[in-house]
Amino acid sequence: MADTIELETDVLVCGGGAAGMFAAVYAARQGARVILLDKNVVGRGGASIMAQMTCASALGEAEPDDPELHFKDTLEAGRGLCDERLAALLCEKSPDRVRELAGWNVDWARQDNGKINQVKAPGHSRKRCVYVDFLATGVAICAAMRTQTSRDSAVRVFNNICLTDVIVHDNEIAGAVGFDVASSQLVTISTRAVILCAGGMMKMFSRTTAPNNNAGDGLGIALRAGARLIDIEFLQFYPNGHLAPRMVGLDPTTWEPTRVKLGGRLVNGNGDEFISRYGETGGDGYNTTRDLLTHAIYREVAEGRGSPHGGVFLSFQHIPEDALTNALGPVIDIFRRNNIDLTKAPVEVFPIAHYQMGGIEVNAAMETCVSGLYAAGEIVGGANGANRLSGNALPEAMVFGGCAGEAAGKSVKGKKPPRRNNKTAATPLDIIRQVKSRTKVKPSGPAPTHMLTELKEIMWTKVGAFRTGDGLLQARDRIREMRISELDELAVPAETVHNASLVEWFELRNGLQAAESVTIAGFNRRESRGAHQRLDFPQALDSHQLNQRIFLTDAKLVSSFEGMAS
Amino acid sequence: MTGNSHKTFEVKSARLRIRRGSDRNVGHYEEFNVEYEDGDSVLDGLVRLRHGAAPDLAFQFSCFNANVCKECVMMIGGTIDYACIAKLRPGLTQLDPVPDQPVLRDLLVDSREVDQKGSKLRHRIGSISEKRRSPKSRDKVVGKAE
Repeated sequence: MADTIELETDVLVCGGGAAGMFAAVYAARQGARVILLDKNVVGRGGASIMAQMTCASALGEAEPDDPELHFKDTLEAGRGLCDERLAALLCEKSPDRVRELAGWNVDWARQDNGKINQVKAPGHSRKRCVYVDFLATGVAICAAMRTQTSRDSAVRVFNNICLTDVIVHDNEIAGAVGFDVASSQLVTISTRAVILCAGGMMKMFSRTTAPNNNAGDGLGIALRAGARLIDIEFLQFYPNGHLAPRMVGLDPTTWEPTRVKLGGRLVNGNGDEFISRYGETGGDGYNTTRDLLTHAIYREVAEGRGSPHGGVFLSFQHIPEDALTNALGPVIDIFRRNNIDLTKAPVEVFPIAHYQMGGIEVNAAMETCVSGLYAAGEIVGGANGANRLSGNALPEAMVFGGCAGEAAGKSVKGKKPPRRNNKTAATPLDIIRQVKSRTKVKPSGPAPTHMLTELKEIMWTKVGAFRTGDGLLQARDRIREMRISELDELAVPAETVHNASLVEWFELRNGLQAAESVTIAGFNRRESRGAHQRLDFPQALDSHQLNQRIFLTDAKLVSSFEGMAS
Repeated sequence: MTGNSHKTFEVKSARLRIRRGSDRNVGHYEEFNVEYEDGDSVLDGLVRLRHGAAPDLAFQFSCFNANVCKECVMMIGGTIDYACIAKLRPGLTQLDPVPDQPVLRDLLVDSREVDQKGSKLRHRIGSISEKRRSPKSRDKVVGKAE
């Protein structure tokens, strides 16, 4: 078997969620040949397919609306840190993508008059969020996009290829390297344009809604290529994450769409509704933004008013059974299989790591400061500032994916893929060879899964929804130690056919760098704003209404906030 | 730390009999005990095994118990099912890869498809094929899409 699989393409898209699939289709429209790859399965493995309901789009079908209003709401939720160019792009182009998907057989829920139905999600000033019943928005979008990518003769789809580095020559993309998970063979791809659509880093929390693949891979790859991260300290914690009783077969985010449809009462362990004490309107409506609700639930639990499992109760017992059935359809059966009967008892909820708002810094064409390196989707920072509105993630994937694909496709017109340069690819390929070579000996040290477990625990306990300077420094030092001293000592089991530990080693290589970036950025931002809450600096400061960049200099992570007065 | 969902459950033990190896005809079974709490899925058990007794066990999943990626399809106690919705139970449960497809390794099948677009490419690169373990052929096995 050959040591290396050699490929070439005009545009390489890494990550097969909604952003990646849109990027591939839009790049192909420009006449580019595209390779769309995923370390897992294209159209299955990202976070997009897990999106249950809301997709924000100012269509104006349920009530008068305008992308300008969507833009205004997005900026307000972003607590002063949104990149207005990106936020405007998201809001302006979301309606086009929603209608395009309708043409590709996405069955958006409709009103009786045939118009697309739209609901009001927290933080939106209008009924703006479209959805596919029942809790199947992401599944429907991904199914449509799988069809689009597989029908397009210019798009070649590769599953189970793990990208490990991009090749940069004179600050221009010259290719990428990785390995085929099924065979552990090395892969080199000659290309002038790479679009990173690899999702966020939220797998690196022990309590998370993220799929198993969102390990921050793209962040590490981008940093090493010379790109910058922006506002990476802003990670969203989803307030109504399922806590108890044990539930499988349904995403732990189930309760937010359920609340958007049905309201639902949040009650603390003493049986008291508490949200009004945090300046919010109580009752059956659901209007509280995610950062405020996360704060309220944490406070209730921290002050001894939690539920038995350390969360709060969410009750739908006041809602008639037929209303529940109408709103939730077959989802009621999944609840039943998990011994959950909403008419009889409440469930317990607690915040859960959910979404990466910060990320790779790009311009309005989704290009980084490295020529030919683009990014799209959750991996991009800036559009949502310090706090993302419910429903803005899918448009971010769809709009930014399309824009990145279009720009990358245009940029390579008339150009051939670069000639292979064995010298620039040698170092990243050697790293893969070195890690692979460990699979030939019987493992003795700890496995990557053990380091992953420790990292997730550190991130959850010290880099979670409420942070302190001391905790962030402790996390930073331990993560740095793991990255510099312990990663290379991990034992990878002896196996060449689909060795998940090999993938996890590279996830750690990137995820540790991403996690360390969050600790540095979080420590430097000595204020509380949106999703970044510092117990030792509880106020938002005008002096900190600035974006923070993180980048690599001489293999060291550096912040543009360094030395900023606290 | 708050948000700990495991502190009051009773720990039980399931025994999983798992098909191992890369060849359906010459593979073998290995048995493992897995601790679980009521409501845990077979996928929870497999992930736990990778952290302990079987770090090299091959299976695939992405969405982790949300049952949307559909990647964890396998034979569970003789029936095709998703590991993320099948519950762990006391006693012995046998796990096999789905039938009628070549086994890549352990519980993972290799449903490579012949793809017109990729034929030249595949010839050049050897073992790689496009659309490996394609969603379409998976759904055919399970008998339903999403």
